[in-house]
Amino acid sequence: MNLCLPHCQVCARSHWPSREICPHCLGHEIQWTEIESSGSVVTATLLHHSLEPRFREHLPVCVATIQLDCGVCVLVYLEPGDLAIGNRVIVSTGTGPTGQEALVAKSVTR
Amino acid sequence: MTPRGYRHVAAAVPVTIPYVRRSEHGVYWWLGRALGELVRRSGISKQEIDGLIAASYTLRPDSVVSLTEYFGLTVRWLEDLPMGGASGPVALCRAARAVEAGDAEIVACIAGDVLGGAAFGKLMDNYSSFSRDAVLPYGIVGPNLPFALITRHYMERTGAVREDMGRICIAQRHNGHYFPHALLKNPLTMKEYLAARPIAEPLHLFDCVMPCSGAEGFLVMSEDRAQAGGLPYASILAGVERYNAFPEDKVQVSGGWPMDRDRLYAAAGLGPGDMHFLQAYDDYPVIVMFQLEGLGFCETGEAPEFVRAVDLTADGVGLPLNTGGGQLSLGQAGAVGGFVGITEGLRQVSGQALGLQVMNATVGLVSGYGTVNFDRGLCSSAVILARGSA
Repeated sequence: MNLCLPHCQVCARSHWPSREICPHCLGHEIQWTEIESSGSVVTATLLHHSLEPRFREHLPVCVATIQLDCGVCVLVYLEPGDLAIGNRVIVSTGTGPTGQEALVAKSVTR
Repeated sequence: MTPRGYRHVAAAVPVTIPYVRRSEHGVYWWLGRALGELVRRSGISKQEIDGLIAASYTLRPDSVVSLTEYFGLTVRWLEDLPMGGASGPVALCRAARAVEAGDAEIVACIAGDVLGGAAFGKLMDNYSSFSRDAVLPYGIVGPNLPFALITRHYMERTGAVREDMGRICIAQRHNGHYFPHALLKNPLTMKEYLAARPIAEPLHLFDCVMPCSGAEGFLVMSEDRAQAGGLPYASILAGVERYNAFPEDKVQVSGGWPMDRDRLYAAAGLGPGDMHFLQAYDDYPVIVMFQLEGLGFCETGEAPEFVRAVDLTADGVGLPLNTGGGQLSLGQAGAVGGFVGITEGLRQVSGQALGLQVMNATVGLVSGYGTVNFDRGLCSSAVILARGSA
């Protein structure tokens, strides 16, 4: 599955998290648009604790900040082996450990 | 333009209501305890209070407006503070400007929050729309997630190691050992710090504040009124606020202080070397490092070296940091954490420390930081306090 992000029809820039108003130009026509889904790991953490009991059986899990090549940064789930900073990844919409919709990243070398 | 200071304004009567982990009482009880102590200890009647400014997360959906009716206060100046950890310096600046301008004569500044039942979980679920949509699905972690990401990035960038974070936590716990209201009082060793269980790597247990219940407060009034009441007080030499600084940074590498510190120090006519203490916002040690750098105590990226070289204890010879132990020792009672530095700073400059008193402390800096809307704290604030000359 490819990656769609909110995209401003006025200034042609994407942003995240989703907004109804563009944070760059205050344009109010935003459409979810498919974008190039490659990016790099900016920072990452291995989580050992959750506030949600049903999450705990899945721990530890790795969550990372990815800067997409369009410049936008997103939080994603990542395989713990891929958390090196600078690692190249592909981001897509998928599911997290408990089945909820989430962005996931996979190393391009996998 | 250099901002104006706050002429002939006094901040007085710092109050800390002893914290507890989980509270059987509601948030109004805590806010009311702070307000009641302000009245009792100042000798100023409730009827004389004509301004109120408050910070609380767990007061929602009620607001500071609700507080007036609940406490039977009739005021002509009222402000609500959603700035979380930045709220203390912001409350002080706003109240001081109102008193200076004559919009209010006596402003009660209070913060209160409770941990009890599902309060913390509910707060995390509804903290902000961005957080709910783009952060919560990633582990349902709360603030440990963004701060783990910020800390890892900072450590990679600067070469900071866990021991550097530990030095901040250990020095603050030393200070907290002497502070009567700290929930965490046992001295912390580097061995214990390093051996703590991982929470969100690189964060381990002692990097994280303990959620709890509590309240803090102080009064702002004219110097004349403070003197007439025989109240020890502090003058406010300068104050700054900043929101959403450096949005282009892909991960947060500083608060807003680098944008504002020159104006802050220029207004006070002082520099970082003149500060007798720093009360820094300490939800996580990396944020203390941001303040050491952003407020000019060291260069950008050099806070790890700074904490290796400089004694941070309140009874040491370096830079006394979070002299009451900070939130890392007291616990974090929601937005009340934003007031901790102000009440402790007021006690220090007016010689009323409850724990360790910094020798000859007459001027010091208090900074605040907070409100992680998505992946970083959006609010930063700072004030310079000086002993009032009665």
